[in-house]
Amino acid sequence: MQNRIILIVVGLALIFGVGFFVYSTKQPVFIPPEEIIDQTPSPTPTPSVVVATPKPTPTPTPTPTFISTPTPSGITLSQIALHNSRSSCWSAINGNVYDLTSWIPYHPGGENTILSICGKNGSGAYNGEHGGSSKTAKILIGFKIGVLVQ
Amino acid sequence: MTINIKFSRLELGQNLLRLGLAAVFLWFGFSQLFDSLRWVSVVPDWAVELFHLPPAIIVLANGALEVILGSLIATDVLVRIPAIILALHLIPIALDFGITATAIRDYGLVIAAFTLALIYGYHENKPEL
Repeated sequence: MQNRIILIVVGLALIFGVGFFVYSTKQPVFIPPEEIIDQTPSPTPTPSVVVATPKPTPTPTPTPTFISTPTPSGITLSQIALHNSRSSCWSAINGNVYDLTSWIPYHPGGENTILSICGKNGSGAYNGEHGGSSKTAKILIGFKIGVLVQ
Repeated sequence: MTINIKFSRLELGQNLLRLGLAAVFLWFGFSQLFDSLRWVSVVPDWAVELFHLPPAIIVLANGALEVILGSLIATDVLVRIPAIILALHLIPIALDFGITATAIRDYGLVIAAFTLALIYGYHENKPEL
């Protein structure tokens, strides 16, 4: 009888513990920067909850800087390598290049899996985890921004 | 008052398997309830067509099912039937992933859940299962 009571207590602790853990580690909902609406003065003042993010003012650079934007001819690994962070995450997977930035908080396997392939060729990691899965391929195609060139 | 806990190896194994599996299903269940957006994209098309429900509702319903059955297993109220139901509901999910690392993990969970349903409550003094 005592064993059973202890097991029930352990079970209840497990339920609340896991629930609390999942709740406390929940990822915040990510809003891509381009979807954040600027607060511009309107003729009719309306209460708004949208927070405007100050856009950085561009600073003139004396020398031409390398801008990593996808070109029709493709994207190189060196361009991808520039996007190796949470704020801009590109990855090459099986010959295509994907901008996975907005997918980071939604990846069911956790953020770190995506963050680990930012700025790199992530084919090995992707194929090891999802290779052959048409469902994940369909999700991935929505993030395609170009093809990989050497 | 003294607490006297005595488990045989079999009982300890059964309870560890039970609590371990319950923790897994509770984690995924709570994650679907608290963090549904993360899971909406992985709802298979056939599930949407089968239930005629939006993916978000399927995620919430699946999460609730896993939390309820996981809680029954964790608290030792009912173990064998919830374990069978969870194993059966995990099979189509794993099949949908194909042969991938995620699916292999899920197949392992299916086998573990079936094993729990088979061995839970079995005592060594019984002659056979």
